Amino acid sequence: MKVQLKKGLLDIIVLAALLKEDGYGYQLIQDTKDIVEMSESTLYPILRRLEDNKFLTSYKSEYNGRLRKYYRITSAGVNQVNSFLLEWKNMNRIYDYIKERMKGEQA
Amino acid sequence: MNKRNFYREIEKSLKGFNEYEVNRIIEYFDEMINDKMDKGLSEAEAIASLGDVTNITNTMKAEIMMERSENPKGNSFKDFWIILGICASPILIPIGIGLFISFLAIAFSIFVVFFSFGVSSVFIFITLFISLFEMISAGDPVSSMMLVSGALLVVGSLMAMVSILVYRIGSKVLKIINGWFSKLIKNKSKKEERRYA
Repeated sequence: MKVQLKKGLLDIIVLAALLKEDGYGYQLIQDTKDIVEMSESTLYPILRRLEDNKFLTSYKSEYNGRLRKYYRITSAGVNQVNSFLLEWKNMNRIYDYIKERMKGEQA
Repeated sequence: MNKRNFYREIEKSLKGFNEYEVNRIIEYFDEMINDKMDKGLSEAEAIASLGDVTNITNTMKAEIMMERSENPKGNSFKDFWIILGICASPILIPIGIGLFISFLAIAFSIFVVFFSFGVSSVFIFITLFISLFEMISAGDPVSSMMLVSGALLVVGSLMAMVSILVYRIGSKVLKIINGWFSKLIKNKSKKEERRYA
């Protein structure tokens, strides 16, 4: 995706990636690879911000003889995703309207 | 580069920043590198895939400074010097020059306005005392003394209020400039990062 992403959209993508199950840093980058290109140093501040704002909690769990930090979405985080969807529902209506008006116009 | 050198570079570059924060960053990258090595990359490959250390730490620093500039209690002059310090990286020097000129020019003009209103209000209060003193010694009626002191008090307080207002707005403006330049640094470092990755 080459377009300039709406501010905060990456935050929502990360939250959404954690909806089904808890995840860790590397996994989050892999899971979202198909829809957005996110470097390691891009993800770090996002996770930090989400955790500081209590949209995520984290815990450490042993893996392969070392500790790995796992992130879990909170109910506030789920609300955040929900309000994003509501916001986009409105955007969709605007999109449909514009598309409708465009019908029959020469491109 | 091996892990230890990589972390030492991060530590060195983030010297002076909150220690807890620095450890959190290193922990994060350590986990990332380990996970990449588990997927079959060598230590050097895993580290190289993260991009250039300077760009990584510049992004982190800019991110921290962006947050700091949003804190109403922060000291915008202190932040200004830190942000200017980040711009010591060759690719960021043009941004540093821009920051240096705009911050100092705006800080100077705010100070001049703040100072002139402040000094005016002090002088008006001094005038008030002198004229009261003169009127008393001249035996002027109380009503004219009250009229003069009332008028001078109103003007003097207005000047003082404008001065305080300029100071408040000024420090907010300086914070906005800091935040704005931090964002420029972040975007520039990220762009560079992608070039290396």
